[in-house]
Amino acid sequence: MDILDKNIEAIRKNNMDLALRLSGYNGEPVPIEQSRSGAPTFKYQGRLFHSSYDPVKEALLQADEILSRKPGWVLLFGFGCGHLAQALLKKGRKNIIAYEPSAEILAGAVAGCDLARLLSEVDVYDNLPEFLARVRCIDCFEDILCYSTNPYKAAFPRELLDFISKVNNAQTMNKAGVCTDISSRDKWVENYLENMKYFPACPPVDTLKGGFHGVPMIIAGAGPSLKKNAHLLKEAKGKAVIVAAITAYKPLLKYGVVPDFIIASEKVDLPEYFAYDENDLETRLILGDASHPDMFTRQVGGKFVFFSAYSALSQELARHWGSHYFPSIGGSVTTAALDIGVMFGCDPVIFVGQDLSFGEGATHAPGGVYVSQDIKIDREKGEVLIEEDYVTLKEKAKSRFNLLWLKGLDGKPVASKYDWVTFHQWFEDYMAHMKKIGNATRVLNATEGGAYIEGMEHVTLREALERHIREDLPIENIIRQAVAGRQAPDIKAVAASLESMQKGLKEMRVSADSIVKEAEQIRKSVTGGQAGPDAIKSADRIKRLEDKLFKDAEKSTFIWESLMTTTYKLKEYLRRREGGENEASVSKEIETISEAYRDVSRMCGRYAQVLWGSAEGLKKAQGSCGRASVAAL
Amino acid sequence: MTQVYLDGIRLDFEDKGNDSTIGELIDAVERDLTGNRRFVMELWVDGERLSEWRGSKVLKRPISGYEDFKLNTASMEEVALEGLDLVQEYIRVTRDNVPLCVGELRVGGSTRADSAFASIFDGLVEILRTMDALARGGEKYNMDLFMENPASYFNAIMRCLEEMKQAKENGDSVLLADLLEYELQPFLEAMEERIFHFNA
Repeated sequence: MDILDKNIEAIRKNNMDLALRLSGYNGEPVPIEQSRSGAPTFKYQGRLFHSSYDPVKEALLQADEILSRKPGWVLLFGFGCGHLAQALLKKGRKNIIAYEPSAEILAGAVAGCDLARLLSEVDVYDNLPEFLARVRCIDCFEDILCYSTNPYKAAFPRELLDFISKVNNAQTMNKAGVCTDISSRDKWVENYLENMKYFPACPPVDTLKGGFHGVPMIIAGAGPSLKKNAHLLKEAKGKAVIVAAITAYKPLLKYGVVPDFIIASEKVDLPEYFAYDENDLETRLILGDASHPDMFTRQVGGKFVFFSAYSALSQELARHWGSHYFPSIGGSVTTAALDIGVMFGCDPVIFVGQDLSFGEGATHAPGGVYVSQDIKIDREKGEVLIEEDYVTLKEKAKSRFNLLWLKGLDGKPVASKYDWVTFHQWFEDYMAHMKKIGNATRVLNATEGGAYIEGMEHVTLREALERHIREDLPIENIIRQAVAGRQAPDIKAVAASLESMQKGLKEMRVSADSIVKEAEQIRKSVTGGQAGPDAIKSADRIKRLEDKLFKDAEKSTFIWESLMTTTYKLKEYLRRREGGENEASVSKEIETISEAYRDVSRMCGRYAQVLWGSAEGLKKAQGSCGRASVAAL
Repeated sequence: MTQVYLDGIRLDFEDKGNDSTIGELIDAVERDLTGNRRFVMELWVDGERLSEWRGSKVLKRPISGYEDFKLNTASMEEVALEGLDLVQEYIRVTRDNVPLCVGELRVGGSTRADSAFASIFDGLVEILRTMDALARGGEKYNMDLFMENPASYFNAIMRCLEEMKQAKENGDSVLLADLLEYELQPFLEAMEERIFHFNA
């Protein structure tokens, strides 16, 4: 086996796609030369990328510089011959991933340098979206250091800026994800359990799976650019499936367009987004299963529900509701709408109002819930200040965001903020995934402003309509027929599942309470940082109780979602805690553990009761669901 | 009338056309001193010591605007020793700057690397200039100032300067660091060891 084969074999274990790309590489790889020390080096664009005398010594110097900054993770922009990654490993640093911006360099390195061992320890990527997907798996509490050597900075300045900006955005996404988890998970569980009573009357959205094969779909976001072309959407009514993000519903009505569907999944109620007239009755809601319960009571033409892949309850129970589809969700309803459109079989999917950036003095198109907005972008401070009149508020609402940047339609940066950046990243990943799996659905961005989305075709709405919108389509009939053929929900199975979860929670509560008591015993028997024999026995009992608790939790894994705040609190504590075994630090440890299990006990008690109520309610409602389902539509 | 003193002794000097320059005064004095293998080393004008006056605009100023000039001299040997001290100091400082610059180039501190490189470049130019002046002086006054003819090092330094300039212009920081670390640094060390009779 020659060097290339050995290297590719090592890459194959972690990254099959890259191994395939490198095996099939038919470009001109950079020629690898031998430095005076014998270690490999090379020139690219006439510049040396490693020392021509001693690249290993050079890399050790760079590794020292990196380690002096004490990063949790090192993200290398530029892998080269791997000397720096190797030096970092040699100095005991783990958590290294590398992105190589040049296919020629990577191909040259794997063909000319013995990297097999290194490649088994360091993940190398040649594809930025894949690299960023890996970055998003890094714990957001970790300190990430992006590092590039001078030759890479000089040869790939734009790529490096893009890399840093996207890594920054990915980290922001991670943090946003944690913030969402902390602030929303418990509420989602609560909402889901409350919403179950409505599900029998709301067909799962995959009832319409494949129902719109080849039918164009237009997804309207409420970005500021919607005002540029929303008037054209009237021409598409009845010729395409029009889906509005709930924020875009009222702005669309202003242009005389009633969407076929409104999609919403906010955990809070959004009554101000409805028109409360005949328009509401002409459209249908597609609601997330964890949306605010009052959203399921709105008087509209019909309601569909979609289940979340990120929720244990959803995953456990969806099949009983007759759903086998969990949309890929990127944090916004328009991201979910895209995946739903693909599931419907729609082609093409056309976006409007999907700016993902600040417009001129506005975050949203006019006609919605924002009466007026004042946006101040402070480039020096890297902040955006928004002052706005919201329909339901008497006083102006003020908010402040960190300023982030995305590439605009014309290639120039456009100002954005973390949630939009998150959605943008999701869209680009989604498009890359579609390409990878060979899904031929065409996705057009006809926003005519805001951020450029890699992988989508960028056109004006006029062009999109001329090319794709032609005949009248029986959209209403398709929906009615699909709903009529809906698989009936298995309420009995849902109730049985809830009862099983309830039993699990009761057991967990008993274990959690016992752990708190044992922890108290340990606290009493610790003196001067030393544990007595009773403490050791208690610690053993805690270990056994924990094993039991975690086993019982397998029946109701959703409980960990409700306990997300506690989990992150513990994680943060463990990250910050310093060594030492004095009495104060042991007491602090015990108190932290006790507090966490008190939370577990409280939450299990609360949800055991809710689940019991839900199961009983469903059992009573059983039998009437079929009639309710049809009546609701 | 302008008074001129040489090593504390007043000279019988007259600026007949009232248009002589300080440079002409120094030249005239040094012509007389050459036979004695001495040079003017210090210049005081109206009680103020002028530093770095050689080659400066000071030499173009007319004498007539000043009250008195005090010129202090040193022997050729004293001048040569001072020159040797200077060139060794330049070499030492330049040598110390090399690892600093290399470190910055290797780890990406471009601003600090630029500043250190400018010092090295200027240092090398000064080393060349001073050694050249010493070599020519030594030859003229028949002094054995160096163990080896320094001219044999000039080409190597010039070539190194040229290569470094080229690497800098191409943005090839690795090559620049290699030249500094593996060519210039050992070369400076070798030159320092071989060329001087003794180290200052």
